[in-house]
Amino acid sequence: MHGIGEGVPRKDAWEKVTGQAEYVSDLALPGMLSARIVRSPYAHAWIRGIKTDAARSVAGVVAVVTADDLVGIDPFYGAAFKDQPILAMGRVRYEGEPVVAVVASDEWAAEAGAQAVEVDYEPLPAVLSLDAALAPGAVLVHEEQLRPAGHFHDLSDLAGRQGNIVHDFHFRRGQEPDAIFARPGVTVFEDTVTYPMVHHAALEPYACLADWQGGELTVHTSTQTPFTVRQELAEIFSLALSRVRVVVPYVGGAFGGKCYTKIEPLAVALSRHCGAPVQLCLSSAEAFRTARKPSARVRVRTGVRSDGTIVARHVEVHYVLGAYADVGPRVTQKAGYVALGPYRVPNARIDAYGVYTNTVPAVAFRGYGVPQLVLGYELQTERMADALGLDPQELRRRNLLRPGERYSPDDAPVDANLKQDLEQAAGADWAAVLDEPHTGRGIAISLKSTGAPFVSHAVVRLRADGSATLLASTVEIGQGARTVLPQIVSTALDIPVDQVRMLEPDTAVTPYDQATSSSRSTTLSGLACQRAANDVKEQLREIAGRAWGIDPTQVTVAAGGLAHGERTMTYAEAVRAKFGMNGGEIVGKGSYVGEVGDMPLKGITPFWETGAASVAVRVDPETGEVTVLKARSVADVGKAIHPDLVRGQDEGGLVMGFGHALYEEMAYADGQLVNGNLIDYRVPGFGDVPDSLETVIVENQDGPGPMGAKGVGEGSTTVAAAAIAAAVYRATGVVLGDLPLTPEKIWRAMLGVKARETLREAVQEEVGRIGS
Amino acid sequence: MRPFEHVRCVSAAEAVRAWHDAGNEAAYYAGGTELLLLMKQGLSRYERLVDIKHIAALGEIASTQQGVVRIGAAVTHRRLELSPELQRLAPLISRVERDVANVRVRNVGTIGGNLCFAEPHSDIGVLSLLLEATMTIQGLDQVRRVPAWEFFRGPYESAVEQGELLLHIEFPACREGTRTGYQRFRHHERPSCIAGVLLEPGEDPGNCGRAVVAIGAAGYVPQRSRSAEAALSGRTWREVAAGAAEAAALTAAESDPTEDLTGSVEYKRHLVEVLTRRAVLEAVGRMEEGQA
Ligand SMILES: Cc1cc2nc3c(=O)[nH]c(=O)nc-3n(C[C@H](O)[C@H](O)[C@H](O)COP(=O)(O)OP(=O)(O)OC[C@H]3O[C@@H](n4cnc5c(N)ncnc54)[C@H](O)[C@@H]3O)c2cc1C
Repeated sequence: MHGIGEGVPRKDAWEKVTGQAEYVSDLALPGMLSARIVRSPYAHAWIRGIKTDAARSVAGVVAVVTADDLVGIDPFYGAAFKDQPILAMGRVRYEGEPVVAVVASDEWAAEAGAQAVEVDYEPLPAVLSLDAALAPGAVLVHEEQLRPAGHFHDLSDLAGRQGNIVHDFHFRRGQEPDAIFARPGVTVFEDTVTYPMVHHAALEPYACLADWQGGELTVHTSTQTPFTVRQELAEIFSLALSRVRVVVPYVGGAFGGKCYTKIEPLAVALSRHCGAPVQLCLSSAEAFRTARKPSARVRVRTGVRSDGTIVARHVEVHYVLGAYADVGPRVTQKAGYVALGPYRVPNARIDAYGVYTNTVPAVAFRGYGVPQLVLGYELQTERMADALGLDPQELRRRNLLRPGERYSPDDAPVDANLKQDLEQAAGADWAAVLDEPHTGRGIAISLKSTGAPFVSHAVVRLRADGSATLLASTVEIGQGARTVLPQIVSTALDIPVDQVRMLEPDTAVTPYDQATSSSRSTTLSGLACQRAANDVKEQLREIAGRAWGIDPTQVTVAAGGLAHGERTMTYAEAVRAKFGMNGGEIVGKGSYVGEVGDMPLKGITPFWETGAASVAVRVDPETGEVTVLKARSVADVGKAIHPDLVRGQDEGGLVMGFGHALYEEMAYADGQLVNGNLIDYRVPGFGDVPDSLETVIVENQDGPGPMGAKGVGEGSTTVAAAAIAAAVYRATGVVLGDLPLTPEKIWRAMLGVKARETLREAVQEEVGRIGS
Repeated sequence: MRPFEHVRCVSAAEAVRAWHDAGNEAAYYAGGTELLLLMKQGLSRYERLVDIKHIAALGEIASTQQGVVRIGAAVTHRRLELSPELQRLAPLISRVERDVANVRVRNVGTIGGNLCFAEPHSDIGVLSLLLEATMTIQGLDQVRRVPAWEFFRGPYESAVEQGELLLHIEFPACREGTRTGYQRFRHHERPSCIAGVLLEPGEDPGNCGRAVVAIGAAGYVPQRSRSAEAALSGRTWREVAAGAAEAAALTAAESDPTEDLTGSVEYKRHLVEVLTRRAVLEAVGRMEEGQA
């Protein structure tokens, strides 16, 4: 009836498959105008002048808006710092930055208008790479004093800029690793890996429809965080929160790229300027110029004893955040915090930095900075095992945190069985493929703190006929929230799942929820939904108890009704009993509020998300091309409320990570993004999915969520690239941590190995000759 | 995409006229897999699209008594892949078509659109050189024939001039016992290197009388390797197999790769060598198995 552990048909499947599902770009309001953006062709430049006359005279153009027109508002936004102007002011900081917006009666007129705008730039030297940004005397991407946005209590100690470093995070435990490294009996391994700039490539690019009506603002937008968007809009336009309404229809993929405010302030500014609703729908090429994943360089140094026990680790990670901080500082510290991996590390030091460059702003991305780190420490695990003559799984087992053990003394104990996850990942029998030449298997395992989006509220309204409406602000981004959350409510109320209807998020109607992110919704928003349903149940018990003259605790709830001994009452009868008429409703409220305090991330992680995967690859010894033959991923979810959705999340996350490992990279030439479109930028397709792709679901009911559930959706992404790099190492002997592992890179690395081998042979020959 | 006029034509002459009537503002529209992308991205703008999909002659696959296979310009990749007739007459084309693009593109994309667009990473370009095809092109007042080796002028530039319509492509019959090898390397959406080899038996069936080696995708235009062809022609089959590496090295030396997102010049030249060697061996191998 509720499909727990079996699954029910997705609520959105039919609408999506038949094209009925509405997205922001499908919406229209009377008198609606369309907007197009003129973007900077330079990575860094002064804006000397903007000529708008020609654009204004294009038929259909209503307004040509520059930063000068943004009067009477605070024209900056940003999740961590308010460092991003709605339209560039005097200076552009990356190629693709919005400079001018043209509003017209339709998008073609807006397009023609945009083409008629002339901007005069004076190009400036730009910092495009991490090294350039960190070099002494580097050009500063931001010179102004940074204003913390104040949205996150865990970002309360934002210190601001030092050179191009916008934020840093440090963690220490035990003694300085360097001191331990110097001890006898400790072998030290050092690896540096780099993770490329990649884009989310959601099929639906950013889209927003803003309707400014005097002091009332309604915004339809494709976002994962309607309440943060509301907050920022209220601050920018000086409106009360109650005057800002953010509505979120279906979202066509998000992957973190739609967390926090993106194009909404511009759409609203245009609507306010024109006095009419304005729709702003970006192309996918523009989406590439709106957000990306933080690229990173990770340096891992680890000291181990000969038996494989890790004694000390130092991780230094630089996240390249691009031209504006967005939520990058939070990624820096949240991921930086778990840089030690799922291992027991008595002496540790973590130094994490977020760095500005003149590239597309980096934002949240599935995995939240962790995949970058896992690549570093897990590739090293494989290498370490080889050097010590140990089985890599044995080395991992020796160091993995046990269930209940703490990553950090004041954080939540680990609520997962990592050894079991590892065994499941490593357990597949792939001997038949691995016996073939040029093949290899790679394994990776990870731990991710779910961190701080701590608040979710939910309301369940039990109608007079016994059906229910669920009000919660979790966004359906394709993960199946509108299916699973009703399942949780229907289970608690014990009514059929099709009797529970969930509304779309609407900040004027549905209650506060911090974010649809961090794999948190089933677990934490789910708890709020479950509690709201339980609240309804308590009220029903009281009604029956009163009606029957017994203590409410004696009333049992089952099969969609109330009972005590022989007496029964349906929910509809209970509602009627309460109000004495065929009307009224029971309103239940539920909340989840996380625990905050003075720990490294200013809060206790509600649960730990783990990732464990194993892949088998073949590498063409001549071309360097990698074929993924098999993949197996472990989703340690506590309880799979909807197993198919768990698999969907897990498989999708894994294949997305394969893309980063093998194909994807936003390529820059002279500051220009040269493959910023879905034609030249290569994401994995079905043809790249291995013939055997398997998700093993581990259910120990050890999560804090409903029925012992924990989050899923990011774990497999955190380990995918690391597992591939490890498998390539096994297949070729080449340690390559500079993603993506393109055929050419692998070929060159193999050539290097061959050259070294030939050299070694030559030397040996020489030695032999001299000896004889 | 900006609105445009859509004109559907049923004869080649009508289509050419419809194009010229719109001045330089028109484009022929076949499957649209390239054209519509350009228009959506705003890279090209046309007021009129002249739809050639309904011109019967352009949709035909026919063969003459001399064994020439004539393929209309508007025949889709999918038909080339699945046509039983083609599988019999020119099996290499069907075999290669299986790997072209993806099924959605193959369903609507046409052989003529592929050739006229002259995108450097084209399989059809290599096939037409390898099989020594001839293209027939119609202008306002003349029809001309252009051999494949004169067809490709540069990236996105073919012998089809503004306003001209490609009518069909003719593939001559292969000699009995001809064997082919075809290797493509794909890391991005489209192949980054292709090598095709055709080995025709000589008077003495124990010899390779003539070899054709064609490569593509690595550089701007598909190319033949005359030096490799010379090295392989007139040899016994065993010598052809033994000489595969040498022929591959000659092809690589003769190749003219260009650097792009799919690889450096050095790497692409290396790919040319690897794929050519594999294609020669594939062709010899197919002969042993007795299949073209
Ligand atoms: C995702 C993707 C992957 C691809 N992968 C491959 C691949 O692996 N191998 C490969 O070879 N190709 C590949 N292609 C290219 C594909 O084969 C071509 O897009 C397709 O064949 C073009 O045909 P069309 O009918 O769609 O051309 P259209 O887009 O309709 O036309 C292309 C151009 O040719 C002109 N034109 C079309 N027909 C004629 C004519 N008869 N006379 C004169 N001008 C004409 C048009 O005006 C236009 O300028 C790929 C394409 C895509 C989109």
